[in-house]
Amino acid sequence: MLAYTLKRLAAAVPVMLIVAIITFTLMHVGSVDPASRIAGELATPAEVERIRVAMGLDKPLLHQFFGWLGNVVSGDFGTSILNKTPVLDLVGQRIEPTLSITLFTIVFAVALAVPMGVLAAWNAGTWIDHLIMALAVVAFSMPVFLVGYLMIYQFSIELRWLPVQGYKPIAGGLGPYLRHLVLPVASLGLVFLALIARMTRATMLEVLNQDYIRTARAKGLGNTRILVLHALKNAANPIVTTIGFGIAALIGGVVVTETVFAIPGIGRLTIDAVIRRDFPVIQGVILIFSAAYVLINLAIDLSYAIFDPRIRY
Amino acid sequence: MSNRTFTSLVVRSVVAAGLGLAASVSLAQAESVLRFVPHGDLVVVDPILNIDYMARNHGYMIYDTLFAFDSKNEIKPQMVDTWTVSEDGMSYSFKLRPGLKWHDGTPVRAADCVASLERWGKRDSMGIAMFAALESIKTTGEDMFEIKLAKPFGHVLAALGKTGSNVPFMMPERVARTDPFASIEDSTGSGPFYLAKDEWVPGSKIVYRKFEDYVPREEPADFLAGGKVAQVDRIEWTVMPDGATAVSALANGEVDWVEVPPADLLPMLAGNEDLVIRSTDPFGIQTMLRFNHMHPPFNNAAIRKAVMATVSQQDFMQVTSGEENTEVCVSFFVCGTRFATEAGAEGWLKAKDLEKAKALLAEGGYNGEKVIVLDPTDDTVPHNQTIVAVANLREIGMNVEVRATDAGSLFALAGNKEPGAWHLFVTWADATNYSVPTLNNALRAGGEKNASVGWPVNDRIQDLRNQFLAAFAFEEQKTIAAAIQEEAYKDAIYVLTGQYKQATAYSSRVEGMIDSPIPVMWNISVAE
Repeated sequence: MLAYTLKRLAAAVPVMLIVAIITFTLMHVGSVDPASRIAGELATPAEVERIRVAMGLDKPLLHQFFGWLGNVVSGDFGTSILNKTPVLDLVGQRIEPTLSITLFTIVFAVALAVPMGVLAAWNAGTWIDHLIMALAVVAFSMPVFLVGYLMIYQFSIELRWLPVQGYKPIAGGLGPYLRHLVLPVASLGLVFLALIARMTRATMLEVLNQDYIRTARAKGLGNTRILVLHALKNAANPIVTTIGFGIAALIGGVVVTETVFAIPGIGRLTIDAVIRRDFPVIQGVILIFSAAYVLINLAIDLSYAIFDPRIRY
Repeated sequence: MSNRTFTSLVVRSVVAAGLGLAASVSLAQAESVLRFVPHGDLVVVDPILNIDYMARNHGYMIYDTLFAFDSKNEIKPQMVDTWTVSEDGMSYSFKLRPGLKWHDGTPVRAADCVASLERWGKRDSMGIAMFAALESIKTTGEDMFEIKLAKPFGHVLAALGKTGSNVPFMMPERVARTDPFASIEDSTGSGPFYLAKDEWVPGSKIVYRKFEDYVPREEPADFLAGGKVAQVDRIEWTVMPDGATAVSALANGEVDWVEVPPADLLPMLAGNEDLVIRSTDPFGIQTMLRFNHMHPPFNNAAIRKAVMATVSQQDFMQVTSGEENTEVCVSFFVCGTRFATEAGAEGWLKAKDLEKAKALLAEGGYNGEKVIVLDPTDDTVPHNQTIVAVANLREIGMNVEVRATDAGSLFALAGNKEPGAWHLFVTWADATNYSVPTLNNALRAGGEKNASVGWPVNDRIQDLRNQFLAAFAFEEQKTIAAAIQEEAYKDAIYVLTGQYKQATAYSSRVEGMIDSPIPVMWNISVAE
């Protein structure tokens, strides 16, 4: 397993390099650079060029790219050309909210969706099954921002139970930290929950029809033992795969959540950087995201061995 | 360690923690905070490099100016204590107020002011015009400096108190010596607040703290002049890209003031007795259609006037801010300000006249050339007005193609001089930037060398602008302004689609709000 892990990590390097090249190319081809935006409508071409030089945008593209790449290898992801803050500092300021939302969303969604899917499969064809699947369809169909607005209206404005916006770091107290996470996590988690619940139900239905489940029942094992130790364990791999895909989708959904709830996370940092053509920030954040995807996929793949002892790396 | 010692240690630790918590709670309670949601984000902290309104508003928080305008549009001293003007108006001498300090505790010197003006004079259009007329600017003492003109320039004090971007904010000399085309990295100022840089989260939160050593003027605050007394200890600007979230946060009491609530959400707030919704901007914002004068079809004045004939300002204002807070304004120099005039505007902008428009199109020889309209879809007001404008153009038979873009890229794209790149776009400007002929960038008509994007060419307007700059007497300036406007209408340099006042919304606990086109935070307190 160690050799497999190391091989996968090594394979991630060319993947990230390709991502970096594609990102860099897309940003600079046909793009408006930030210098002309800052210079203003009256600026002459010479003045815009002076600002470009001050920002380091005058150097040849290859020089810019390899200069940046060389710095990344030594741990320097560059500095925002607009506010002069190091990219890693910007990421460091924003990582806690995004990680908090993402982790809590995964926990919330998985904790609810897996039992829901199991319950639906165990009661396949009954009103319980139909109700759970109907809820899943509704949850999957509603855009994250719509759910967010509805929750804000109900729980913040009408009931005044929870705050509308913002994020409180955990260092400021567990209570405020959790209160500010409830609505964003619930909004983002509903879609994820629906996805996992449906996949869990489908996989469980397949497994519950297997001979070994009939044998387990015939041996007199209890329902809980059958469901958890035999059925769910064998259904785990497709569910874990779905969770993995869901995490990737989550990172996209977190942008919308951070915007609706005014949370200073990495999603918003990325969008702001793209709109403003803050090239070092865009490149740095995309690289970090691609590293995260690689690691998540690796973790998912490694987890298969936990659930299925036949799998060996 | 014995039980007794351990117990004693625990008890002492708990007591100390309790005392610490009580102290921090009491400190937190003592600090007054104003929570504000600005219209955008502070991207670049340098208000001399960057013309962005957020940079300007940030500048008013941490910097001070030599002069400032009051609500009657009169220029008043701010950092300046006394000044003299020679009889011929060619020489000015200034003395700074005593006790002025930078945020780092060092005194403000005349040398700082001279360096600041020199940097500003290389970036700002008014500053460039002033410095072009200067013979010299130099210090004559630790707190005194003088300006000598080489040729007549009747707007020295107005330039030094200029309200709109780029404002001549004063900075320490070491900061002001930064290349005017590179951003400063030191935000030391002498204003009533200072930037709490360690608490700044770019894109999310900007925090300002009261500058305890600020010496306000004794007069009451009035517009951007008078005493800037900081009544709160701390001000938090929270960036909220979603207008609905900002409005909800205000309704829920999580913020105190939302600068620009979306117009369609104002009815949601209207019934809330804890909130105040009104316009604090006495002048408002102007919206306009701007042409590419360089290429067909809008290199032809008749065709530009055809577009002007399709405009009824009420149509544009209905999609901008509804029926409230609008007025028909035909003055290029912002209705309600000192140079406002109706000269040259007879028969335009009050009603759509499609027959007149078609006749002008025929007169101009329009032959179906494609008209590319840039549409900043993420900027609500220009986007909505673009929809109306495009419908009007198609109604008179013009061949229109809309190109969607984002607001941030608009002027950069409009800077493209290639044929077929663009022909028309809608934009807006606030009164601070367009109320004076020489500040109205859209009326600069020097073509490629001396005009804003669109590059209009009109020698008479340029000549009149130079006359305006040289004129000392206000009445003479007003006459010239009227002549500039007449010529601008005759040549349809651009088309005014309206003027409106943007409503702001704040908690009824906020007291001391100053009416100003720029959100100013001095004089404001938040009641318990």
